[in-house]
Amino acid sequence: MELLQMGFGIVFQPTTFLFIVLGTILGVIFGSLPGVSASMAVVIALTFTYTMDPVVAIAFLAAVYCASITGGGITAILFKIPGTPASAVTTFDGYPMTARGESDKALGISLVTSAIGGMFAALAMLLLAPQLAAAALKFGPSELFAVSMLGLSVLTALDSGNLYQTIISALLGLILATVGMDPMTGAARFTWGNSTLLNGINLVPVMIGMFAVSEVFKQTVKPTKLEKVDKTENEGKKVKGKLVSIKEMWAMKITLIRSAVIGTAVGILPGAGATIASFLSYTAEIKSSKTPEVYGTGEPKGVAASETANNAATGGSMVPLLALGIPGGNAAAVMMTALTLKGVQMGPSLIRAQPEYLSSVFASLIVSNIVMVIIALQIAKIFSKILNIPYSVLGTSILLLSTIGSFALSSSVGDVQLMVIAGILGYAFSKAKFNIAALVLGLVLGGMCESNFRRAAMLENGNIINVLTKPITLSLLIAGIAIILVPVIKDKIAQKKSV
Amino acid sequence: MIFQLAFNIILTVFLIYCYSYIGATTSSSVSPGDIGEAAWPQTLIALTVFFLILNILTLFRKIPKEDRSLSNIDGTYFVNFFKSKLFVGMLILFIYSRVLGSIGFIISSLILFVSYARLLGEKSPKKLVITSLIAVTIFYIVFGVGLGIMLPRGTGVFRSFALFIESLF
Repeated sequence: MELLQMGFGIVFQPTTFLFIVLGTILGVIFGSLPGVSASMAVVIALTFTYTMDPVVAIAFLAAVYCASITGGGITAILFKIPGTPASAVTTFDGYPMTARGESDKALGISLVTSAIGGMFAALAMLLLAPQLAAAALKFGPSELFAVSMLGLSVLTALDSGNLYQTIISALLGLILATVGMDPMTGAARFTWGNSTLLNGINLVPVMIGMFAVSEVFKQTVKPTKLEKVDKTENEGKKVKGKLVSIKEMWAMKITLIRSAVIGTAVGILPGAGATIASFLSYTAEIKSSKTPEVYGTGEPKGVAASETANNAATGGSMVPLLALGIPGGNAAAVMMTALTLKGVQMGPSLIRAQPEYLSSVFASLIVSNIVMVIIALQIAKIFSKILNIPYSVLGTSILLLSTIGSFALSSSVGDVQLMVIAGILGYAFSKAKFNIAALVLGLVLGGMCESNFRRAAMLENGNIINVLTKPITLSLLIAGIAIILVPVIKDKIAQKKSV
Repeated sequence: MIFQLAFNIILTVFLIYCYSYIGATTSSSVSPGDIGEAAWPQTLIALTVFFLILNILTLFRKIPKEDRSLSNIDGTYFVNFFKSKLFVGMLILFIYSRVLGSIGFIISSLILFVSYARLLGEKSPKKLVITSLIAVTIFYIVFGVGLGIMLPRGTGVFRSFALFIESLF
């Protein structure tokens, strides 16, 4: 109860509330624009946080993240253009509803279920994060090392079709994290005589480059075609602002509960996130339905399943971030970087030492989910105008925002150059089918992995076998290996059976 | 496929170089119990190279047997890259990042906006100039004036120009 009071006390301070509203507006607009993913929205919004208090910054970023996922759903319903990949599933039933003149109903379901999913996940975060942190506080360095490795292994398992590339990406992230001063001895590693590299690779320009600049490069090669909205066609898509009825929502209660649970659980897994959550939830919805054939033809439950789950994943991804200092996804990794830059020590002790972070994120998610329904509905009314912004303006504006975001961090042009290099490499990586999310997660977790492993080795007088065979450490590492191998073995068995 | 193979091979070679570089540039004497400065990165590099080799073999197996010859590599793929919009875009952004410090944010961003928006398909010179002026002004006011972020001023005459603009706000 104290946590709740503290959280709402922070969030309802005029400045914080204003930033949450601003974050929600920015998030909905960014999320609705094709070519701007939720991670990109958060990374772009990072620029605004440099002058903010850390608690306000995380509340603001959480609002942007949450709202960008919802914004993606609006264009998915009105124009069959998913603003974010997490909203791709929403087009399956959302657009057919619009086509038969039910855009109001589809939007109403999307916004209300998004809010319900987001609030459910926020509640789950409030209940789960302290428990997880309390358990993690009993962990020593070897166990914390194993936890980070487990986080990385979950990521590889989620992309089992590209197993080698995902493992390589995560390892490359860990290698990049070794650039700079050695955490134990202070010796220079991989600096090639360059003194600026002594502080290590600056995460923010790398993230901006990998998520935002590389996306603009992709659009430069193959621009997303926006549907030109003519006047007559637009008539059917006009949003009048009439939301869904309580009776209609009550009829979907099982869908909502199931999707919120799936979304939150998937969000907690490092690297999984909103896109996988919405696909899984939609599949679960079809499998449990007595009339699966209606999905894809404009079934309201299809919209509800996708939108509840993708928003629930946003809150879920905050659980490992706040409890363990391990980001549950790209956007959470950006938030972790933002907090680390402000001197916040991430890890299991954060919640005990500074409970205001957990409470403010919780309150921010609750408030932004409520505010979002009102704001998103208003923005939806002028969406055709927003979508008519040509990519030549949007893409170049993203480049300028990225430049400011990279430069402002330490007033260094070198960071802008790093951002450009990261953008080029990010594009090459995705072209070579490597996993950028795994690379970034490896980079974020790299320092924690190495210092914990080496500290554990020192405690055991350099005996690595002793480090790795501690009961909890060994169990976590075996679980990590099993997570990687099980999908591969399953695939092999399935292949043999089909032969 | 060619790009993927080439990328994997280049990465492998580079990482093998990094393996020897870190071994040669770090001290071998370590404090009691510590695994040393090079052990962690070298272990990671060794693992990465192992998986890269597996990946290269997997990619190679996907190429039809009759095509597995160096003579089948189409050089135009790489030549075309240097003629592509993507390369031009990368070049524009790279040059921008190099001159940002000396020309300053306002002028260099105006040039970036006009050139990149042109690359992204905007053909009307009037629209290019107007949108770039509006966008750069908005960004300057929001971040430079509103949030107090010190944007690059440039040097010499560009610095004087930036200071003049700053004096207006």
